[in-house]
Amino acid sequence: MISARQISVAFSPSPALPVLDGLDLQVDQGEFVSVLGSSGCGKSTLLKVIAGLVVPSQGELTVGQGQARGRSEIGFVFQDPTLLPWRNVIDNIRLPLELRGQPVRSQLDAAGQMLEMVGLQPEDGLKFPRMLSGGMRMRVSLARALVTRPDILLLDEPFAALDDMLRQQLCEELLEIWQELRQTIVFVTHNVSEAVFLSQQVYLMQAEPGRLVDQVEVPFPFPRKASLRGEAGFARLVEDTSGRLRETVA
Amino acid sequence: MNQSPRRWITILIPPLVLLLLTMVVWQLAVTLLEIKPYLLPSPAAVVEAAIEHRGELFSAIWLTGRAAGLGLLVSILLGTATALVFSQSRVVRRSFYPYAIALQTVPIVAIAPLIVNWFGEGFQSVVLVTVIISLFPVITSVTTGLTSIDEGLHDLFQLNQASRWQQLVKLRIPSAIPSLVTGARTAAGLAVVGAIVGEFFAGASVTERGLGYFVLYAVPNLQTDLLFGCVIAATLLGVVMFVAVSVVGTHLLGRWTAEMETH
Repeated sequence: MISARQISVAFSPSPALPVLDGLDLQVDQGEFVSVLGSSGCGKSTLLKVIAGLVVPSQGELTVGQGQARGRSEIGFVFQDPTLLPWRNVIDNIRLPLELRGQPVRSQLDAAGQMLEMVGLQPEDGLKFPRMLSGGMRMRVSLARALVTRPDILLLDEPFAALDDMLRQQLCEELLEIWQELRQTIVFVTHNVSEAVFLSQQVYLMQAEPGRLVDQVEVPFPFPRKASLRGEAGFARLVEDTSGRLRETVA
Repeated sequence: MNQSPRRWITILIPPLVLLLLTMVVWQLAVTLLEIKPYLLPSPAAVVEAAIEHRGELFSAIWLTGRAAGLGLLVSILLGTATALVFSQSRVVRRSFYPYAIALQTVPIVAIAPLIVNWFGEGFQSVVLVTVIISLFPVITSVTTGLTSIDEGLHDLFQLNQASRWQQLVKLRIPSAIPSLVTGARTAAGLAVVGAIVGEFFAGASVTERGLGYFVLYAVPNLQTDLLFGCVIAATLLGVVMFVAVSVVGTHLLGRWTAEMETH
Protein backbone atom coordinates (compact mmCIF):
# COMPACT_ATOMS: atom_id res chain seq x y z
CA MET A 1 0.00 0.00 0.00
CA ILE A 2 2.82 2.32 0.93
CA SER A 3 6.27 1.47 -0.25
CA ALA A 4 9.13 3.88 0.31
CA ARG A 5 12.65 2.94 -0.70
CA GLN A 6 15.77 4.93 0.07
CA ILE A 7 13.86 8.17 0.51
CA SER A 8 15.96 11.28 1.10
CA VAL A 9 14.74 14.80 1.69
CA ALA A 10 17.00 17.82 1.93
CA PHE A 11 15.83 21.39 2.21
CA SER A 12 17.72 24.08 0.37
CA PRO A 13 19.46 25.95 3.23
CA SER A 14 21.46 22.90 4.30
CA PRO A 15 21.53 20.22 1.61
CA ALA A 16 24.45 18.60 3.43
CA LEU A 17 22.21 17.84 6.42
CA PRO A 18 19.25 15.95 5.02
CA VAL A 19 16.05 15.69 7.08
CA LEU A 20 15.48 12.17 5.81
CA ASP A 21 18.29 10.03 4.49
CA GLY A 22 17.84 6.64 2.87
CA LEU A 23 14.59 5.87 4.66
CA ASP A 24 12.78 2.60 3.97
CA LEU A 25 9.17 1.94 4.92
CA GLN A 26 6.74 -0.74 3.87
CA VAL A 27 3.12 -0.62 5.01
CA ASP A 28 0.59 -3.24 3.89
CA GLN A 29 -3.03 -2.59 3.07
CA GLY A 30 -5.16 -2.19 6.19
CA GLU A 31 -2.17 -2.13 8.47
CA PHE A 32 -1.89 0.23 11.45
CA VAL A 33 1.70 1.32 11.99
CA SER A 34 3.23 3.95 14.24
CA VAL A 35 6.41 5.90 13.72
CA LEU A 36 8.01 6.72 17.03
CA GLY A 37 10.76 9.26 17.48
CA SER A 38 11.89 12.33 19.37
CA SER A 39 10.71 15.73 18.21
CA GLY A 40 12.60 17.13 15.26
CA CYS A 41 13.64 13.75 13.87
CA GLY A 42 11.71 14.24 10.63
CA LYS A 43 8.53 12.31 11.46
CA SER A 44 6.30 15.04 10.10
CA THR A 45 8.40 15.31 6.97
CA LEU A 46 8.00 11.57 6.39
CA LEU A 47 4.20 11.94 6.51
CA LYS A 48 4.33 14.91 4.17
CA VAL A 49 6.40 12.89 1.72
CA ILE A 50 3.83 10.09 1.77
CA ALA A 51 1.05 12.66 1.30
CA GLY A 52 2.86 14.26 -1.62
CA LEU A 53 3.23 17.61 0.14
CA VAL A 54 7.01 17.28 0.13
CA VAL A 55 8.82 15.91 -2.89
CA PRO A 56 11.78 13.69 -1.94
CA SER A 57 15.11 14.60 -3.48
CA GLN A 58 15.92 10.91 -3.91
CA GLY A 59 14.27 7.54 -3.62
CA GLU A 60 11.28 5.66 -4.84
CA LEU A 61 7.78 6.02 -3.44
CA THR A 62 4.66 4.08 -4.29
CA VAL A 63 1.43 4.99 -2.58
CA GLY A 64 -1.90 3.32 -3.20
CA GLN A 65 -2.62 0.91 -6.00
CA GLY A 66 0.07 2.06 -8.38
CA GLN A 67 0.53 5.68 -9.25
CA ALA A 68 2.85 7.66 -7.03
CA ARG A 69 1.18 10.13 -4.71
CA GLY A 70 -2.47 9.44 -5.43
CA ARG A 71 -3.44 12.20 -3.05
CA SER A 72 -7.17 11.83 -3.41
CA GLU A 73 -7.16 8.65 -1.40
CA ILE A 74 -5.15 10.08 1.47
CA GLY A 75 -6.59 11.61 4.63
CA PHE A 76 -4.27 13.73 6.75
CA VAL A 77 -4.74 14.77 10.37
CA PHE A 78 -2.37 17.58 11.24
CA GLN A 79 -0.75 18.28 14.57
CA ASP A 80 -3.08 21.26 15.03
CA PRO A 81 -6.75 20.95 14.17
CA THR A 82 -6.24 23.54 11.33
CA LEU A 83 -9.94 24.35 11.03
CA LEU A 84 -11.23 27.33 9.07
CA PRO A 85 -12.46 29.72 11.81
CA TRP A 86 -15.13 31.27 9.58
CA ARG A 87 -16.82 27.95 8.85
CA ASN A 88 -18.96 25.95 11.23
CA VAL A 89 -18.18 22.33 12.05
CA ILE A 90 -20.19 20.75 9.24
CA ASP A 91 -18.78 23.16 6.65
CA ASN A 92 -15.26 22.39 7.88
CA ILE A 93 -15.82 18.64 7.63
CA ARG A 94 -17.22 18.79 4.10
CA LEU A 95 -14.42 21.03 2.76
CA PRO A 96 -12.42 18.21 1.07
CA LEU A 97 -15.55 17.08 -0.80
CA GLU A 98 -16.39 20.66 -1.71
CA LEU A 99 -12.90 21.13 -3.20
CA ARG A 100 -13.48 17.98 -5.27
CA GLY A 101 -16.69 19.50 -6.64
CA GLN A 102 -19.14 16.98 -5.20
CA PRO A 103 -22.82 17.91 -5.07
CA VAL A 104 -23.68 19.82 -1.88
CA ARG A 105 -26.33 17.31 -0.85
CA SER A 106 -23.88 14.42 -0.72
CA GLN A 107 -21.24 16.63 0.94
CA LEU A 108 -23.66 17.35 3.77
CA ASP A 109 -24.73 13.72 4.09
CA ALA A 110 -21.15 12.52 4.29
CA ALA A 111 -20.19 15.25 6.76
CA GLY A 112 -23.15 14.36 8.98
CA GLN A 113 -22.10 10.70 9.04
CA MET A 114 -18.53 11.59 9.94
CA LEU A 115 -19.74 13.91 12.70
CA GLU A 116 -21.44 10.95 14.28
CA MET A 117 -18.51 8.62 13.70
CA VAL A 118 -16.11 10.83 15.66
CA GLY A 119 -18.55 11.06 18.56
CA LEU A 120 -20.00 14.54 18.08
CA GLN A 121 -23.67 15.49 18.42
CA PRO A 122 -25.71 16.75 15.45
CA GLU A 123 -26.12 20.16 17.13
CA ASP A 124 -22.30 20.50 17.32
CA GLY A 125 -22.37 20.71 13.53
CA LEU A 126 -23.56 24.30 13.63
CA LYS A 127 -20.95 25.49 16.12
CA PHE A 128 -17.86 27.43 15.14
CA PRO A 129 -14.34 26.22 15.98
CA ARG A 130 -13.88 28.98 18.57
CA MET A 131 -16.70 27.52 20.62
CA LEU A 132 -15.17 24.05 20.78
CA SER A 133 -12.78 22.50 23.27
CA GLY A 134 -9.39 21.22 22.09
CA GLY A 135 -10.63 17.63 22.04
CA MET A 136 -13.71 18.51 20.02
CA ARG A 137 -11.63 20.42 17.48
CA MET A 138 -9.39 17.41 17.04
CA ARG A 139 -12.49 15.27 16.48
CA VAL A 140 -13.66 17.66 13.77
CA SER A 141 -10.21 17.51 12.19
CA LEU A 142 -10.38 13.71 12.21
CA ALA A 143 -13.86 13.74 10.71
CA ARG A 144 -12.62 16.03 7.91
CA ALA A 145 -9.76 13.63 7.15
CA LEU A 146 -12.19 10.68 7.02
CA VAL A 147 -14.88 12.35 4.92
CA THR A 148 -13.33 11.37 1.60
CA ARG A 149 -13.28 7.75 2.77
CA PRO A 150 -9.52 7.55 2.26
CA ASP A 151 -7.68 4.25 1.88
CA ILE A 152 -4.76 5.77 3.72
CA LEU A 153 -4.94 7.86 6.86
CA LEU A 154 -1.88 9.79 8.03
CA LEU A 155 -1.86 11.25 11.54
CA ASP A 156 0.81 13.67 12.73
CA GLU A 157 0.88 13.64 16.56
CA PRO A 158 -2.81 14.49 16.55
CA PHE A 159 -3.39 14.15 20.29
CA ALA A 160 -0.11 15.65 21.54
CA ALA A 161 -1.73 18.86 22.79
CA LEU A 162 -4.49 17.11 24.75
CA ASP A 163 -4.48 15.97 28.37
CA ASP A 164 -3.82 12.30 29.15
CA MET A 165 -7.40 11.22 29.82
CA LEU A 166 -8.67 12.72 26.59
CA ARG A 167 -5.71 11.41 24.65
CA GLN A 168 -6.42 7.85 25.79
CA GLN A 169 -10.11 8.18 25.03
CA LEU A 170 -9.43 9.48 21.53
CA CYS A 171 -6.94 6.65 20.92
CA GLU A 172 -9.63 4.12 21.80
CA GLU A 173 -12.09 5.85 19.46
CA LEU A 174 -9.52 5.95 16.66
CA LEU A 175 -9.03 2.19 17.05
CA GLU A 176 -12.79 1.65 16.83
CA ILE A 177 -12.93 3.64 13.62
CA TRP A 178 -10.01 1.70 12.17
CA GLN A 179 -11.60 -1.61 13.14
CA GLU A 180 -14.71 -0.54 11.28
CA LEU A 181 -13.16 0.98 8.16
CA ARG A 182 -9.77 -0.80 8.03
CA GLN A 183 -7.83 1.94 6.33
CA THR A 184 -4.08 1.83 6.17
CA ILE A 185 -2.89 4.08 9.00
CA VAL A 186 0.48 5.68 9.63
CA PHE A 187 0.45 7.31 13.05
CA VAL A 188 3.34 9.54 14.06
CA THR A 189 3.98 10.16 17.75
CA HIS A 190 6.63 10.59 20.43
CA ASN A 191 4.48 8.79 23.01
CA VAL A 192 5.59 5.17 23.41
CA SER A 193 2.50 3.82 25.14
CA GLU A 194 0.23 5.48 22.60
CA ALA A 195 2.17 3.84 19.76
CA VAL A 196 2.10 0.41 21.40
CA PHE A 197 -1.58 0.64 22.29
CA LEU A 198 -2.68 1.60 18.79
CA SER A 199 -0.56 -0.14 16.25
CA GLN A 200 0.48 -3.50 14.86
CA GLN A 201 4.00 -2.35 14.03
CA VAL A 202 6.02 0.37 15.71
CA TYR A 203 8.93 1.85 13.76
CA LEU A 204 11.61 3.67 15.69
CA MET A 205 13.04 6.71 14.03
CA GLN A 206 16.47 8.17 14.46
CA ALA A 207 17.23 11.85 14.04
CA GLU A 208 19.86 13.62 11.96
CA PRO A 209 19.57 12.16 9.50
CA GLY A 210 16.04 10.83 9.83
CA ARG A 211 15.92 7.10 9.24
CA LEU A 212 13.89 4.16 10.55
CA VAL A 213 16.34 2.07 12.54
CA ASP A 214 14.29 -0.45 14.49
CA GLN A 215 10.94 -2.17 14.44
CA VAL A 216 8.76 -3.59 17.21
CA GLU A 217 5.91 -5.94 16.46
CA VAL A 218 2.93 -5.52 18.77
CA PRO A 219 1.25 -8.93 19.27
CA PHE A 220 -1.91 -7.90 21.17
CA PRO A 221 -5.08 -8.97 19.36
CA PHE A 222 -7.90 -6.69 18.26
CA PRO A 223 -10.33 -5.39 19.37
CA ARG A 224 -8.16 -3.77 22.00
CA LYS A 225 -9.87 -2.31 25.03
CA ALA A 226 -8.78 0.38 27.48
CA SER A 227 -8.02 -2.39 29.98
CA LEU A 228 -5.07 -3.48 27.82
CA ARG A 229 -3.07 -0.61 29.33
CA GLY A 230 -3.28 -2.31 32.74
CA GLU A 231 -1.88 -5.65 31.58
CA ALA A 232 1.63 -6.73 32.50
CA GLY A 233 2.53 -7.69 28.93
CA PHE A 234 1.60 -4.21 27.74
CA ALA A 235 3.76 -2.54 30.38
CA ARG A 236 6.69 -4.82 29.49
CA LEU A 237 6.44 -4.03 25.79
CA VAL A 238 6.22 -0.29 26.47
CA GLU A 239 9.29 -0.55 28.71
CA ASP A 240 11.18 -2.59 26.12
CA THR A 241 10.25 -0.18 23.32
CA SER A 242 11.28 2.83 25.40
CA GLY A 243 14.66 1.18 25.97
CA ARG A 244 15.18 0.60 22.28
CA LEU A 245 14.11 4.17 21.52
CA ARG A 246 16.74 5.46 23.94
CA GLU A 247 19.35 3.42 22.10
CA THR A 248 18.46 5.04 18.78
CA VAL A 249 18.87 8.47 20.31
CA ALA A 250 22.20 7.61 21.95
CA MET B 1 -29.79 41.90 30.06
CA ASN B 2 -28.87 44.98 32.14
CA GLN B 3 -25.23 44.11 31.55
CA SER B 4 -24.78 46.13 28.39
CA PRO B 5 -26.18 49.55 29.47
CA ARG B 6 -24.06 49.31 32.58
CA ARG B 7 -21.01 48.56 30.46
CA TRP B 8 -21.71 51.61 28.32
CA ILE B 9 -21.95 53.74 31.43
CA THR B 10 -18.57 52.58 32.70
CA ILE B 11 -17.07 53.29 29.27
CA LEU B 12 -18.66 56.71 28.77
CA ILE B 13 -18.68 58.30 32.21
CA PRO B 14 -14.90 58.73 32.86
CA PRO B 15 -14.07 60.57 29.60
CA LEU B 16 -17.22 62.71 29.92
CA VAL B 17 -16.29 63.73 33.46
CA LEU B 18 -12.80 64.59 32.23
CA LEU B 19 -14.27 66.64 29.38
CA LEU B 20 -16.49 68.57 31.78
CA LEU B 21 -13.58 69.28 34.14
CA THR B 22 -11.43 70.48 31.24
CA MET B 23 -14.19 72.83 30.10
CA VAL B 24 -14.59 74.29 33.59
CA VAL B 25 -10.83 74.84 34.03
CA TRP B 26 -10.58 76.28 30.50
CA GLN B 27 -13.48 78.67 31.05
CA LEU B 28 -12.11 79.80 34.44
CA ALA B 29 -8.60 80.26 33.05
CA VAL B 30 -9.79 82.38 30.13
CA THR B 31 -11.99 84.56 32.37
CA LEU B 32 -9.62 84.96 35.31
CA LEU B 33 -6.39 85.41 33.32
CA GLU B 34 -8.12 87.67 30.80
CA ILE B 35 -6.72 85.79 27.83
CA LYS B 36 -7.41 87.55 24.54
CA PRO B 37 -10.19 85.79 22.63
CA TYR B 38 -8.20 85.63 19.37
CA LEU B 39 -5.53 83.62 21.21
CA LEU B 40 -7.81 81.33 23.17
CA PRO B 41 -11.56 81.76 23.16
CA SER B 42 -13.57 80.45 26.09
CA PRO B 43 -15.65 77.28 25.62
CA ALA B 44 -18.77 79.39 25.87
CA ALA B 45 -17.54 81.59 23.04
CA VAL B 46 -16.72 78.54 20.92
CA VAL B 47 -20.19 77.12 21.44
CA GLU B 48 -21.72 80.51 20.71
CA ALA B 49 -19.74 80.88 17.48
CA ALA B 50 -20.63 77.35 16.45
CA ILE B 51 -24.33 77.99 17.03
CA GLU B 52 -24.17 81.29 15.20
CA HIS B 53 -22.58 79.65 12.14
CA ARG B 54 -24.41 76.36 12.54
CA GLY B 55 -25.86 76.38 9.04
CA GLU B 56 -22.53 76.84 7.32
CA LEU B 57 -20.81 74.53 9.80
CA PHE B 58 -23.25 71.69 9.22
CA SER B 59 -23.06 72.00 5.46
CA ALA B 60 -19.25 72.11 5.80
CA ILE B 61 -19.26 68.92 7.89
CA TRP B 62 -21.64 67.29 5.42
CA LEU B 63 -19.44 68.23 2.45
CA THR B 64 -16.17 67.15 4.10
CA GLY B 65 -17.84 64.02 5.43
CA ARG B 66 -19.00 63.11 1.92
CA ALA B 67 -15.54 63.65 0.47
CA ALA B 68 -13.92 61.62 3.26
CA GLY B 69 -16.52 58.85 3.01
CA LEU B 70 -16.29 58.57 -0.76
CA GLY B 71 -12.50 58.73 -0.62
CA LEU B 72 -12.44 55.98 2.00
CA LEU B 73 -14.74 53.80 -0.06
CA VAL B 74 -12.57 54.24 -3.15
CA SER B 75 -9.46 53.49 -1.06
CA ILE B 76 -10.97 50.29 0.32
CA LEU B 77 -12.08 49.07 -3.13
CA LEU B 78 -8.93 50.15 -4.97
CA GLY B 79 -6.65 48.97 -2.14
CA THR B 80 -8.32 45.57 -1.98
CA ALA B 81 -8.16 45.17 -5.76
CA THR B 82 -4.46 46.11 -5.74
CA ALA B 83 -3.79 43.66 -2.91
CA LEU B 84 -5.58 40.89 -4.83
CA VAL B 85 -3.28 41.48 -7.80
CA PHE B 86 -0.24 41.63 -5.49
CA SER B 87 -1.19 38.35 -3.83
CA GLN B 88 -1.21 36.45 -7.10
CA SER B 89 2.36 37.04 -8.16
CA ARG B 90 5.55 37.66 -6.25
CA VAL B 91 7.09 39.36 -9.28
CA VAL B 92 4.20 41.81 -9.54
CA ARG B 93 4.34 42.42 -5.81
CA ARG B 94 8.09 43.12 -5.85
CA SER B 95 7.81 45.38 -8.89
CA PHE B 96 4.95 47.53 -7.67
CA TYR B 97 5.43 47.60 -3.92
CA PRO B 98 8.08 50.36 -3.90
CA TYR B 99 5.66 52.60 -5.78
CA ALA B 100 2.90 51.80 -3.31
CA ILE B 101 5.27 52.96 -0.58
CA ALA B 102 5.99 56.10 -2.60
CA LEU B 103 2.26 56.79 -2.43
CA GLN B 104 2.61 57.15 1.31
CA THR B 105 5.84 59.13 1.32
CA VAL B 106 4.91 61.59 -1.43
CA PRO B 107 4.47 65.03 0.13
CA ILE B 108 0.81 65.67 -0.52
CA VAL B 109 1.38 69.40 -0.12
CA ALA B 110 3.69 69.30 -3.12
CA ILE B 111 1.41 67.39 -5.46
CA ALA B 112 -1.91 68.89 -4.40
CA PRO B 113 -1.39 71.96 -6.66
CA LEU B 114 -0.68 69.54 -9.52
CA ILE B 115 -3.91 67.73 -8.85
CA VAL B 116 -5.80 71.04 -8.87
CA ASN B 117 -3.99 71.90 -12.09
CA TRP B 118 -5.13 68.64 -13.75
CA PHE B 119 -8.55 68.10 -12.28
CA GLY B 120 -9.60 71.60 -11.31
CA GLU B 121 -10.93 72.95 -8.05
CA GLY B 122 -13.71 71.11 -6.35
CA PHE B 123 -15.04 67.88 -4.97
CA GLN B 124 -13.31 65.48 -7.37
CA SER B 125 -9.85 66.80 -6.48
CA VAL B 126 -10.61 66.70 -2.75
CA VAL B 127 -11.66 63.06 -3.07
CA LEU B 128 -8.51 62.29 -5.05
CA VAL B 129 -6.28 63.75 -2.32
CA THR B 130 -8.26 61.74 0.24
CA VAL B 131 -7.66 58.54 -1.72
CA ILE B 132 -3.92 59.20 -2.06
CA ILE B 133 -3.62 59.69 1.69
CA SER B 134 -5.77 56.75 2.83
CA LEU B 135 -4.98 54.10 0.21
CA PHE B 136 -1.67 52.76 1.51
CA PRO B 137 -2.77 51.13 4.80
CA VAL B 138 -5.48 49.21 2.93
CA ILE B 139 -2.99 47.88 0.36
CA THR B 140 -0.45 46.76 2.96
CA SER B 141 -2.92 45.22 5.40
CA VAL B 142 -4.88 43.30 2.80
CA THR B 143 -1.74 42.12 0.96
CA THR B 144 -0.34 40.82 4.22
CA GLY B 145 -3.65 39.13 5.02
CA LEU B 146 -3.83 37.47 1.61
CA THR B 147 -0.25 36.23 1.57
CA SER B 148 0.45 35.15 5.15
CA ILE B 149 -1.63 31.99 5.24
CA ASP B 150 -1.34 29.47 8.06
CA GLU B 151 0.99 26.69 6.86
CA GLY B 152 -1.29 23.91 8.03
CA LEU B 153 -4.27 25.34 6.15
CA HIS B 154 -2.11 25.75 3.08
CA ASP B 155 -1.08 22.09 3.32
CA LEU B 156 -4.72 21.10 3.75
CA PHE B 157 -5.71 22.81 0.50
CA GLN B 158 -2.67 21.39 -1.31
CA LEU B 159 -3.50 17.92 -0.09
CA ASN B 160 -7.01 18.21 -1.48
CA GLN B 161 -5.63 19.52 -4.75
CA ALA B 162 -7.45 22.82 -4.51
CA SER B 163 -7.15 24.98 -7.61
CA ARG B 164 -5.59 28.44 -7.44
CA TRP B 165 -9.06 29.91 -7.66
CA GLN B 166 -10.39 27.72 -4.83
CA GLN B 167 -7.42 28.70 -2.68
CA LEU B 168 -8.11 32.36 -3.33
CA VAL B 169 -11.85 32.25 -2.74
CA LYS B 170 -12.09 29.68 0.04
CA LEU B 171 -8.85 30.34 1.89
CA ARG B 172 -6.99 33.57 1.12
CA ILE B 173 -9.87 36.01 0.91
CA PRO B 174 -11.63 34.83 4.08
CA SER B 175 -8.28 34.79 5.90
CA ALA B 176 -7.68 38.39 4.88
CA ILE B 177 -10.96 39.83 6.20
CA PRO B 178 -9.57 40.72 9.66
CA SER B 179 -6.64 42.50 7.97
CA LEU B 180 -9.06 44.38 5.71
CA VAL B 181 -10.95 45.64 8.75
CA THR B 182 -7.70 46.76 10.41
CA GLY B 183 -6.59 48.55 7.26
CA ALA B 184 -9.98 50.21 6.76
CA ARG B 185 -9.99 51.45 10.35
CA THR B 186 -6.63 53.16 9.90
CA ALA B 187 -7.74 54.53 6.53
CA ALA B 188 -10.95 55.98 8.05
CA GLY B 189 -8.98 58.34 10.29
CA LEU B 190 -6.64 59.29 7.46
CA ALA B 191 -9.55 59.94 5.09
CA VAL B 192 -10.83 62.86 7.20
CA VAL B 193 -7.32 64.32 7.34
CA GLY B 194 -7.06 63.82 3.59
CA ALA B 195 -10.39 65.52 2.87
CA ILE B 196 -9.47 68.57 4.95
CA VAL B 197 -6.00 68.85 3.40
CA GLY B 198 -7.63 68.42 0.01
CA GLU B 199 -10.02 71.28 0.73
CA PHE B 200 -7.10 73.51 1.70
CA PHE B 201 -5.95 73.31 -1.90
CA ALA B 202 -8.96 72.46 -3.95
CA GLY B 203 -11.97 73.35 -1.86
CA ALA B 204 -12.22 77.07 -2.57
CA SER B 205 -15.23 76.92 -4.83
CA VAL B 206 -17.65 79.63 -3.74
CA THR B 207 -20.81 77.57 -3.52
CA GLU B 208 -19.53 74.65 -1.48
CA ARG B 209 -17.35 75.19 1.56
CA GLY B 210 -15.92 72.24 3.47
CA LEU B 211 -14.25 72.25 6.87
CA GLY B 212 -10.81 72.70 5.30
CA TYR B 213 -11.95 75.84 3.54
CA PHE B 214 -13.61 77.06 6.73
CA VAL B 215 -10.34 76.69 8.64
CA LEU B 216 -8.55 78.78 6.02
CA TYR B 217 -11.28 81.42 6.05
CA ALA B 218 -11.79 81.62 9.82
CA VAL B 219 -8.19 82.23 10.88
CA PRO B 220 -7.37 85.37 8.85
CA ASN B 221 -10.46 86.99 10.26
CA LEU B 222 -9.28 86.23 13.81
CA GLN B 223 -12.39 84.16 14.37
CA THR B 224 -10.49 81.84 16.66
CA ASP B 225 -13.70 80.69 18.32
CA LEU B 226 -15.07 79.48 14.99
CA LEU B 227 -11.72 77.86 14.20
CA PHE B 228 -12.02 75.87 17.42
CA GLY B 229 -15.52 74.88 16.39
CA CYS B 230 -14.11 73.58 13.07
CA VAL B 231 -11.39 71.61 14.82
CA ILE B 232 -13.92 69.99 17.13
CA ALA B 233 -16.25 69.26 14.22
CA ALA B 234 -13.40 67.70 12.22
CA THR B 235 -12.38 65.57 15.19
CA LEU B 236 -15.93 64.37 15.71
CA LEU B 237 -16.21 63.56 12.03
CA GLY B 238 -13.06 61.42 12.28
CA VAL B 239 -14.40 59.63 15.34
CA VAL B 240 -17.74 58.97 13.65
CA MET B 241 -16.01 57.51 10.57
CA PHE B 242 -13.74 55.36 12.73
CA VAL B 243 -16.62 54.06 14.81
CA ALA B 244 -18.74 53.40 11.71
CA VAL B 245 -15.96 51.33 10.12
CA SER B 246 -15.35 49.53 13.43
CA VAL B 247 -19.03 48.62 13.80
CA VAL B 248 -19.25 47.28 10.24
CA GLY B 249 -15.95 45.48 10.85
CA THR B 250 -17.10 43.85 14.07
CA HIS B 251 -20.18 42.63 12.24
CA LEU B 252 -18.07 41.19 9.44
CA LEU B 253 -15.72 39.60 11.95
CA GLY B 254 -18.50 37.89 13.89
CA ARG B 255 -17.38 34.49 12.71
CA TRP B 256 -13.70 35.16 13.20
CA THR B 257 -14.04 36.19 16.81
CA ALA B 258 -15.54 34.74 19.95
CA GLU B 259 -18.75 36.68 19.43
CA MET B 260 -20.85 33.57 18.91
CA GLU B 261 -19.97 32.23 22.36
CA THR B 262 -22.67 34.30 23.99
CA HIS B 263 -25.44 32.43 22.20
